Amino acid sequence: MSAISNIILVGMGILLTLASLWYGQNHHLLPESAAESAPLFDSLFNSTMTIATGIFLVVQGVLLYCIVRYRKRRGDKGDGDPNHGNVLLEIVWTAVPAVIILWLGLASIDVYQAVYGGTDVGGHIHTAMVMESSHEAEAGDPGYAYTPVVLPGKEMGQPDLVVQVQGMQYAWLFTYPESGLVASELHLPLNKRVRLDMTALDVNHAFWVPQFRLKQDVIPGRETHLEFVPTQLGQYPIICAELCGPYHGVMAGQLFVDTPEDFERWQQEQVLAARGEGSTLALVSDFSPVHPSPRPGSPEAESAFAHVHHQRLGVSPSDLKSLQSHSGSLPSAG
Amino acid sequence: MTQLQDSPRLVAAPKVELELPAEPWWRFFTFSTDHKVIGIQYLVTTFFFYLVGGALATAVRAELATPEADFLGFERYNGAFTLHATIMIFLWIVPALVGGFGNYLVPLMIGARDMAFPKLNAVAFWLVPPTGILLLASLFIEAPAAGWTSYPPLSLISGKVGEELWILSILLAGTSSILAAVNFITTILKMRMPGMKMEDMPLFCWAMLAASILTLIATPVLAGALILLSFDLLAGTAFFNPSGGGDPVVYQHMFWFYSHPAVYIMILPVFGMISEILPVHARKPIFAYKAIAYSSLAICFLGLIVWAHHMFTSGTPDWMRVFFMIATMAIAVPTGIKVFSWLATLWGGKIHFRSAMLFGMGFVSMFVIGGLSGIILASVPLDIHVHDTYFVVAHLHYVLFGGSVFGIYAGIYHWFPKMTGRMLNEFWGRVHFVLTFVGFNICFLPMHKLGLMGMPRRVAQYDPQFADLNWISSVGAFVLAISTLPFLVNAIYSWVAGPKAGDNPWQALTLEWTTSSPPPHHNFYGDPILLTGPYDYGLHSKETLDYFAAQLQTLRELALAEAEPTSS
Repeated sequence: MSAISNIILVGMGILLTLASLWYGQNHHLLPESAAESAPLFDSLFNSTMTIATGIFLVVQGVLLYCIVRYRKRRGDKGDGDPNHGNVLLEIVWTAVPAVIILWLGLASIDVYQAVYGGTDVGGHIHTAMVMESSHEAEAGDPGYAYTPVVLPGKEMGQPDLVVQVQGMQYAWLFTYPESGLVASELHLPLNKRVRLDMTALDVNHAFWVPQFRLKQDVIPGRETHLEFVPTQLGQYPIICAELCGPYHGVMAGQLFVDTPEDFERWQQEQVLAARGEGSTLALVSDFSPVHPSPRPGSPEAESAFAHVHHQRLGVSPSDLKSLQSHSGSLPSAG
Repeated sequence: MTQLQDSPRLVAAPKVELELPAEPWWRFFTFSTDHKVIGIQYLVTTFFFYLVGGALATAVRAELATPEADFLGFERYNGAFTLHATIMIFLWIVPALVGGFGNYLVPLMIGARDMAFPKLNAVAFWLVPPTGILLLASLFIEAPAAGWTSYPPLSLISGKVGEELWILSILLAGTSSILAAVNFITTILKMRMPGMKMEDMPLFCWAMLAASILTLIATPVLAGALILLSFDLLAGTAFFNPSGGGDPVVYQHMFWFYSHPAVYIMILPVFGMISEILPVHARKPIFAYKAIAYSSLAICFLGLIVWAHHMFTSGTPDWMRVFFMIATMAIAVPTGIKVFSWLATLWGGKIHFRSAMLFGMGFVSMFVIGGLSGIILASVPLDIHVHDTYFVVAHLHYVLFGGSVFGIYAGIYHWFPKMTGRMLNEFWGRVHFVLTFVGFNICFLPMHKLGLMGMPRRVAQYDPQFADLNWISSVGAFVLAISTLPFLVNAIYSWVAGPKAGDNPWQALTLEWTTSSPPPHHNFYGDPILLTGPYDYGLHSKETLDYFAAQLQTLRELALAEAEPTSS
């Protein structure tokens, strides 16, 4: 290869790297991030996008180059170069993807540990992407110990607030065990560790807040969990991501991240309003909201279904009383 | 017979046998046991289902052109996307590739006279029309509406008749696949012509071997899952029904134990076809034959241990998430080997931009995008955000449309002359390619952003902030729908009245091109002879190749001349 073509090759390599780095940081493909773990996700996503852009440019570049450079010329009836292999080249293009994949795998495990904590996958893994929070996890800090599924022998975290979530066709129901408040909107205090204990009444659902980069299936017959710290004030959509029936697309809830004061005020208002008259948004439940899932289509499931829809639509105080008597009939898990 | 100086193989004197010429057109409508007839039966039948599945896809995109559910409505929408996916997977891509191309090409490529079990082969094909009839009947009775994954408990409460029709049709399709897989494995291992070692086989045969092993191991598990689901549905058992103590997540494991390998069953034969098509039209030997062959087997092995990556949000334990993430990512290595080898095959070639090559290169280009988004989906933390969103819809279409369907089109353009004896029109082939390529990217590229921004899949109604990108995507879908028209007209017209193809219009070196177009009943005139390696482009002088062609022509004339008196 001549010196000039070497220079061109190096120049193109530098351009390609710069383009990949730039696009990896400026792709604007994600919504704003609003939870503590979201920036970890974003950083891993950006790194992956950088690598993916690089590989994309190399492959499409070579393809385009071949199209231009090696097209059959008019009148040429011969064959191309009969080269059928090159061991060194083959080793390189096996080893390089293997190394990239290894790095990406380790980085993913690290982010997974940092976000979900408590993950023991057979020893401590250190990479360039070790983050402060994963050190906490390794040190066994219970504040970060978390597992999305309750497994035997696993410790749950110590969240500041626990909310019980029930998914049903086609609504979300949120219960605050401390106050007994049941709401169709999820209000959370800013910068507090929240744990959601989730179950489904009828079919599979999935709890997803894109701004938090977190998703967890909500499955009848078992309890699943999500733990996070909201870090931005605002209103975010709660999306059901698992097909749950014809009206799956309209099963959307709202999540509000309030200042701790606003959160307390909201909770008190709702409790008072529900005890008094005129509330259409929330009611105080006398029963323990964690209960076995009723059989789909059973009166229990239907009453829970009606319950949340009435709340969403807004009903009169008398309707509310009748709803409360309905919900009182739900069996208690004790 | 003379041994030529530059030939890497011995040219043996073949034994000439009497063979009757091809049977008439109506044999395509019979219970024929000829693998070539069965292959074409598969291709034509499955293309019909492709059009039906495509019409359903167009209806789905018409619904999604606006945020409101104002075209199909909520219930019909779920039926439409469920049937779209089911038809495309079980009645188009899998049977077209394995049943269609596999049947037609494998015996020809290995110099066999037919498949190992010709009657079993016919049975496998004739299970496909009832599969289609059951599924299409459900359109008019009650469409299954729980998605092609059919997860319980939703599938247990969303309509018994539709769901049961769906289960029965998939069981039939699965049975057909298993029969075909047994046949291919036996044929490839036992029916190769004398003197053809495994390393002499065309790469398509390696890919078919890997895909058949996957089918044989994985499909029975799906059948098991569906039979149990059927019990839950009809007999009131509770294998997967949580209200009776069953576990819906167990169904997901069983379903994906088949359905992830199914992705490789849908892509491995395409990998094989691309490995055949690129060398011919680039006039170069395939680069790194052994690496491509063994990477198919590596994908086959790894493909069996990655299923739980579809379940990262299902409450799977941590160790399982990490294990399946690493296994999934590892598949990028053998896949990367293939992609780089294809690029190296093009490098330094003399590329003829015929329609087959355009679709072949389009495949490489699009499949890379699907592969890269696949790496994002393999990473547990990244997958958790994008799981069950339009990002996944984009990814799977880049793999299955940009990959498999582009591959099928490339295959049709490449082997149509062999199958029918006539050439397709190149101009309309290029129009078809451009419309497909442009429509495909307009349709599926925006879905990546839609999913990352927060649009879940399988929704009839969506947040109005996504309206613009969805509208663009729907326009792309309509272009894609229109793109099939030039192909359809071209294929029908050319089959009837296209210019004669001759035996070997592309000057290809694999065995199927050494016989006539279309080949006679038992494929070869006399015993097939291995004149060259399958990819020896550029290794022989033109004189040698002309000599080979002349030898074959002489043999054929001899055989036909001797057959003439017996047939009259």
